[in-house]
Amino acid sequence: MFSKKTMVAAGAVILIVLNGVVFSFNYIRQTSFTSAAAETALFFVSPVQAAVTGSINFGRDLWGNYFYLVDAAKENRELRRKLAEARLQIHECSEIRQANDRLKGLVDFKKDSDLSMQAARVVARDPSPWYRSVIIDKGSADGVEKGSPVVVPDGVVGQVTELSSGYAKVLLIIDRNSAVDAMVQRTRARGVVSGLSSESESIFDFALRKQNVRAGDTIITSGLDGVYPKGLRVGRVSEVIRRNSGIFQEVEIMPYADFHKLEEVLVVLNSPDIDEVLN
Amino acid sequence: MIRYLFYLITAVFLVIVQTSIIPYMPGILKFYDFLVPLAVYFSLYKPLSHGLPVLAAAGLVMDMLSGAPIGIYLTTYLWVFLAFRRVARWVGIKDHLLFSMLAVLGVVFENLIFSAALISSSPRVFFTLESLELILLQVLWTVVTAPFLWLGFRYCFGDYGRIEAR
Repeated sequence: MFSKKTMVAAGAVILIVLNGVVFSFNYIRQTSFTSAAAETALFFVSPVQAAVTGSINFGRDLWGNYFYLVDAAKENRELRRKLAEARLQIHECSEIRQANDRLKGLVDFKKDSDLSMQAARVVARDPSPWYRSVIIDKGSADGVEKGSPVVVPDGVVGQVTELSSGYAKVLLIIDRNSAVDAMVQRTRARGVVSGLSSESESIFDFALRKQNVRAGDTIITSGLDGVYPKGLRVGRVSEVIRRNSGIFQEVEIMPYADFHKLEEVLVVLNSPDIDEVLN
Repeated sequence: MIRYLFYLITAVFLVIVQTSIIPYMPGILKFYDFLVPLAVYFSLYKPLSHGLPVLAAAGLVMDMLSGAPIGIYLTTYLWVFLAFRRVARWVGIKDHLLFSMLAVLGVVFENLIFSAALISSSPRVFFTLESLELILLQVLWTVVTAPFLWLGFRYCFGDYGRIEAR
């Protein structure tokens, strides 16, 4: 009745239509069959997929992180090195600034004074804890003489006792063997400043009981010892003890110069003669 | 000659350490004179001909650098050197213990000499709490560091024989 060709064409059209209907029907509602099939597939396949994907991701992350960590470690080392350099530079800058401040103080003091002075650096301290002296890096070749007074802007430091051409030994005023003729700035009461080998304490000896000395007074050099120029600050009175007997009072002073931090000093080169002072 | 030079370099090194490094350390580190243990070491291990010139030179250097009366270090080192020379034959204890003990005695002896010098030159009270504390700290540091100094000296001077073998 129909030719073979017509039958094939008609069959193809029916299949296409049927396929379209089935697909349309599937989009609209999930059948229990498809759900069960999907669930089964997911149940068996997904764990494997998850494992494979996880492994791949793990490998990829590991690989990526390894290289990242290598880079980070390298960067970390570099940054640490830079940080250490920066810290060193900060420390150096801080040292330079402090040295600059100290030297500026010395220069200002030198400029304001009529005395001829030579700046020197402290290179060593007394090996014995019982005695107080320092070695400075200026000697006879720089005009330093035996007996030259040594000062800092804060006050008197000591006097040169030994010297070579390039170095000098300075006996500090806090040494027990040191004596500085001095007076109270406010009342002009005279006495002698002697050391106790303590960096923070000295004695203002031979101040008469009747003389007015009180805590807080400034002690200055009198210039009468022929060593230290007149008017240099020595220390501040910290305590005054007047006993019932005796002709002298006990006066403790705190030196103005910080002997613990002594690094640079000034040597007075034209110390006045005693005759010059008295005249 | 080279040996003497080496001894002198060691002594000067110790002098530099205690004049340029130790004084800038915190207050608690009030070290003693390192040349006293050196004198003790020389008295125990070295002949008279080695010890005398080296310690005399070291004493003079110290006297020149210090504000102390001239000759006080020289006296101390030579007394320590001469006085402790025969001790090893009388006392039967081990080397490092003997050395430590004698180093402590030497440091105390040095402080006594300095005290005598200070008392004679200054009428002020010497034995204050501060001065006693200073002596005690020195003794303490000697006890702590003497064994290390002993090892250091032995290593430097290469004396591995016992005192009796001298």
